[in-house]
Amino acid sequence: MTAARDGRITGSPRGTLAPLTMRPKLSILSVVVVLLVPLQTGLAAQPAAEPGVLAIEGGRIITMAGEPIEGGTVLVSEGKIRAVGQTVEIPAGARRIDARGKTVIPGLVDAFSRLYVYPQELMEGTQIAPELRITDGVDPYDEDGAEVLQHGVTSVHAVPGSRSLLGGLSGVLKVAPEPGPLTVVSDGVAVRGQIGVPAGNSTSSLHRLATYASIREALLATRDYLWTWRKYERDLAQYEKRTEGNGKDGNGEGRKEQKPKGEKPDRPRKPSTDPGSEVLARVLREEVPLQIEAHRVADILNALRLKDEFGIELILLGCSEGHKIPGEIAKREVPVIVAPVSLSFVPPSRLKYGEHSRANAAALARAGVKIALGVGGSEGLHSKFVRACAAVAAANGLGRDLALRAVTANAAEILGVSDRVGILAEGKDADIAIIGGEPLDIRSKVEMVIVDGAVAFERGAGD
Amino acid sequence: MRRSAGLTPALAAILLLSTNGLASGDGLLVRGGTVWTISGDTLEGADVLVLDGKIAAVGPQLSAPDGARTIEANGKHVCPGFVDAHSHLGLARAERDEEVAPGATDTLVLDAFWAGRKDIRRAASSGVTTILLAPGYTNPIGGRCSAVKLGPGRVLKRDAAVKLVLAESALMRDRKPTSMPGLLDMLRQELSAAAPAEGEEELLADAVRGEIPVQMFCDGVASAERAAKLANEFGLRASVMAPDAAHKLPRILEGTGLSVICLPLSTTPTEKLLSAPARLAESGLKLAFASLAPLSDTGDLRSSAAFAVAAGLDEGAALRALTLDAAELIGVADRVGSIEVGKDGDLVVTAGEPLDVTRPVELVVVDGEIVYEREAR
Repeated sequence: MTAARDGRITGSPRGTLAPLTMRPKLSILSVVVVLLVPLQTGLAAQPAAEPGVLAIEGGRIITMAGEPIEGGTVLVSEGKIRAVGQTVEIPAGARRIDARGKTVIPGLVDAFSRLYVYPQELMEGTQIAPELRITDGVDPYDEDGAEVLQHGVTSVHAVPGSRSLLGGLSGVLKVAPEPGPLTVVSDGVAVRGQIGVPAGNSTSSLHRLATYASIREALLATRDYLWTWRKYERDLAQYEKRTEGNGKDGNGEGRKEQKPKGEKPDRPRKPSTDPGSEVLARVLREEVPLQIEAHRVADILNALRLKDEFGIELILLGCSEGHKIPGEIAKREVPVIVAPVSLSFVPPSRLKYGEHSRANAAALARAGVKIALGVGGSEGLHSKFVRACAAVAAANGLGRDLALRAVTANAAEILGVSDRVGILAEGKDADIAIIGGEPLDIRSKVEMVIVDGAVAFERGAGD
Repeated sequence: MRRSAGLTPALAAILLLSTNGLASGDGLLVRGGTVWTISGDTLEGADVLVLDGKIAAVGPQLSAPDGARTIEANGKHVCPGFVDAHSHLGLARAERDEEVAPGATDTLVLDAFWAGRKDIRRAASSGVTTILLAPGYTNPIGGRCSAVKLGPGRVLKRDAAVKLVLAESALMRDRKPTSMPGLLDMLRQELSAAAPAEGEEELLADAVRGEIPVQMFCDGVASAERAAKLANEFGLRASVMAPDAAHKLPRILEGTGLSVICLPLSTTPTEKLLSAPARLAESGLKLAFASLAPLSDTGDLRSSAAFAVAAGLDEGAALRALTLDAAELIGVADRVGSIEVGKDGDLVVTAGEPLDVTRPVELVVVDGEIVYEREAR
């Protein structure tokens, strides 16, 4: 954060109206100002003698963890939320942000984003590569983040490309105001697979069947892989028992000279380690979910079949025709990241996905499915439309409350990062958006966005 | 009591049968809503009466004739049906252009329009009642555009506008023009030939006489400058579309009398593009919104306007752009675009303010007939 920006931040509640003397360029000046100008109560904020302490006062706080708090305060320090409530003690020297007449919400999450993902990462072939991690392939110098941030979006779920059958682990990243190192909230949300997502122009049913069959095959192979390893471990234990006292090597290998000279049972051969299978093994052990992008009924049903067969934890991604079979999804308690909600950001060639309905999210939610919304855009910049997508879903039966939940708390829960983002509560990351009205009404301006306790966007006077 | 005669099967399919049945030739009274007339004041608690497909009266406490269906709009908002100023709805991709005929003056995409396509049903439910159905992007002279209703009467105006494409998408390797200078040369020649009077290219002659509006698709700043120059040279009544350069249009178009068709939700939505409508309006340019559907979704037209408002466009201007200004731009303002006695009965009832996109579209009426009604949950 630059000194100039620091100065602006310490200037006034909204950073724009304070007199010049209140907008020092350097933090040293802030101290001088503090000495020269006795603390003003009420009106403008005190210069931040205690950097990083923010008190957002007087707003309507939608915490997503209980009823909204009218005229409450959110206290932030060291990147975390320290207190949320009607009466919060504000330490001296905190920067006081006047949010009266505004709405304070958790920073929004795009649960299906392309932000920070190099276009090439989306183009991997049709191979099975579950061992890849999208966070290894992100571009920290992508400048789109700054614009996405201006729309209140503070976290994105970066998903590996749609061409691969099993494209690796997705991740959750914080949106940064400037290019630079990215904050990774999670580098292993779920292994991404797809069933029936058109690769290029191929939408044939054969292609769609083949994608299902290949994923199933990979999971079956992983079962064998695990069996082979279990067998090896069993054999090794037996071998070691039998050779007890003769050698000291526990699980070592290739130390043939230490083998007993007498009766020579064959030491079991160690199977080879396969990184992809290791990741899929975690899926089979329910340590990491499999998220499958599927849009048509047949493809969604096939994804659900994988859950039934292998007992894995499943997340459905996309799920355009979910509205036709909400019961099937609900009874298996499979959460859904609904995308696209608004069709403007999807390349027309990909609209062959199935029968879209703007009421898809509402139909799923009504059946009891836990849903998040993703923009599912064709490029990173599209993540700025999280509010628009939530608004579309809200208007089409989801309602504003659930729609907001779908892009905050629910998204965080489905992505396994609710310990850090998605709600405003003590101890969570201080990711906050202050909006000048109804949060999902896109006519309401985003006034300020805070990421990890730092003001990352602040609307200027002319905006 | 009620009739559904005259509805096409495709249209009938989207009607959600409610207890009161379909609307009707017997009239429709939308009662007690906030009526955004667009051409005049916004009226609180007013009624709109539609008879024989036309708006028969607007005002407080209207009484409906026997047999008319009454819609309670108390607490809701009523505005004219939205106009999408450039769209390819109802066309399959292959039907948009005859690629080997770069000067497709006679091509009429309306001939390939099919009202049964699913995207049309979706679009109608979002409040869009009129679209300008346009050819594609591969011919310098794309052909004739028609104003089409997404409901009963269908064809509002057959020859509503001419489409010109000043973008690289109109250049081909295997036919002329292959280059931008070639493209401009071709357009100049065709327009000059049409200039004197009614030559063979009747359509272009009408355009040169200013009798039919021209829509010019551009792919960048340079292209938009060329369009402005060409329009000025031939005195075209033109509007410019430049999806990726809209923010640069104020400087190029200020004072030219040309209009701009905005597409803020399509392609690469930078902040500059989102705020372009506001900047364009400040420069005194007339605006309309378009989806270029299926390039972006017709259902997001309202969101486009709302984003423009968030970026500083006056709310009234945004609504005008979505209705009356767009209607003027495609030459059908005598029929649609405002709630006035005598105009077509094209109405949208929304639960919240027209541009509050978190609230649903409740009812859409085209030519006095209900084409969409939200199911009550």
